[in-house]
Amino acid sequence: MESWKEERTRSIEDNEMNLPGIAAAYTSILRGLGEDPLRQGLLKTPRRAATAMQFFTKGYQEKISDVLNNAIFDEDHDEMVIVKDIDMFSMCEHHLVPFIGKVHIGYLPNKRVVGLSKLARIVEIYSRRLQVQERLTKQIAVAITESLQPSGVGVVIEASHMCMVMRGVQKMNSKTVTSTMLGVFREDPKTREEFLKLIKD
Amino acid sequence: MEHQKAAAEMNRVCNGNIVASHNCHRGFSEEAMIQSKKAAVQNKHEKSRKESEDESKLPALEAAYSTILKGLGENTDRQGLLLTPRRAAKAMQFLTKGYHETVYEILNDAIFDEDHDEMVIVKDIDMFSLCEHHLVPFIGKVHIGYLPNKRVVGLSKLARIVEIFSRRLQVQERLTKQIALAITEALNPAGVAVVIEAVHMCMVMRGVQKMNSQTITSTMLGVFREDTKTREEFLSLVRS
Repeated sequence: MESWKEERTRSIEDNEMNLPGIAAAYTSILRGLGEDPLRQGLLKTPRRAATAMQFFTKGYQEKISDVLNNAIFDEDHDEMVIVKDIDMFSMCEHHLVPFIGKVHIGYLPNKRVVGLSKLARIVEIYSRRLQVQERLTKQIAVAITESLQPSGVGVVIEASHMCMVMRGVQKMNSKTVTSTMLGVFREDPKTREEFLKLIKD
Repeated sequence: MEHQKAAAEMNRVCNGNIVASHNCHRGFSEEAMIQSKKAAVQNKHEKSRKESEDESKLPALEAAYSTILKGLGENTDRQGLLLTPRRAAKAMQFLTKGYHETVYEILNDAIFDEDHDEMVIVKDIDMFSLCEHHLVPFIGKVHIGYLPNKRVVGLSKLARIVEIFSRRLQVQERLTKQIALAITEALNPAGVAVVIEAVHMCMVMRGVQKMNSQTITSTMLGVFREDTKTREEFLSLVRS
């Protein structure tokens, strides 16, 4: 469980250095699938796919402390703050296939509130990685807890996993819902109920 | 065995030799014939993949995925990633299994003589394909309509034709055309129409990042191309 003060594991220079190797790996994948990497549509695909994959895992390059940008304010507010329907795109670490969904975040401030877009940025940092939905939910909740020290945090993610939709069991309409409740959201059922009710459409 | 000849044409190869084009496009324009040859060009470049080859190609694919994981800065020894190269390689082979299959095989002789000359539509066929430019999925729905000319095809075969061509590295325009041409060459109908509406993850998850944009492509052949009213009927039945 990484704390929000974790070190970056990747830099932009690393990306540039690793790109040719990743592109070469994609070329061999294309051959292994029986395709012709020299045909027009596929000529630049290894490079594009490698850049795309680096983009999908750019969360490894970022730290929470950078992203929060000191947007934490003292505010005498002690009612629930919810940011819901945050679009989330992540990569399943088991099949390297996307899973996409929505994140709903709620927290009860304890004298300190955070800039609202920063919640969405926290989602971006952790979702742009090779992930497991359960871990993603927890990491978001823990990051908000450790940066704000609120009375409580609730995070709910509903996602559709392409690895279940496009292959394997092939269930088109199935969704996976995970949640993490910390602080008063965990201890007080009424608070949790209020949050869950407010995030329903 | 006329439809067998037509079907061999679809793949442009019969026992390894390029088959000369027959005059099996009666009622279709020269345009459609030329397009048919162009679509076949892609088939020529693809090495056909036998299912038995998949097993032997797996180690190379796994090694490639391992390299990718390391290049992305991940730790390939952690529990969640240990078997990922193998899983990802198998997933990729599944997502490109259309290369195994030929239209002739899946049609399974399910072509019947029926004196029906009204439009037949199979719509909302879920489609999952891989963008050949970024190797990222694009997913959507396919709507197919055709006007039989004494011969109808088993309905599920239309969905199976979609599967064959979509489980490949594709470009949405080419996918639409290949489906339409395959139906044309198998059935010789009076007309074929294919419409695909899809969401491209490469536009949603990266690049321009437009969540709600959809890409729509269509191919109209035969009477669907020449007769506006037929086309209109198809489009309104598909929209409802």
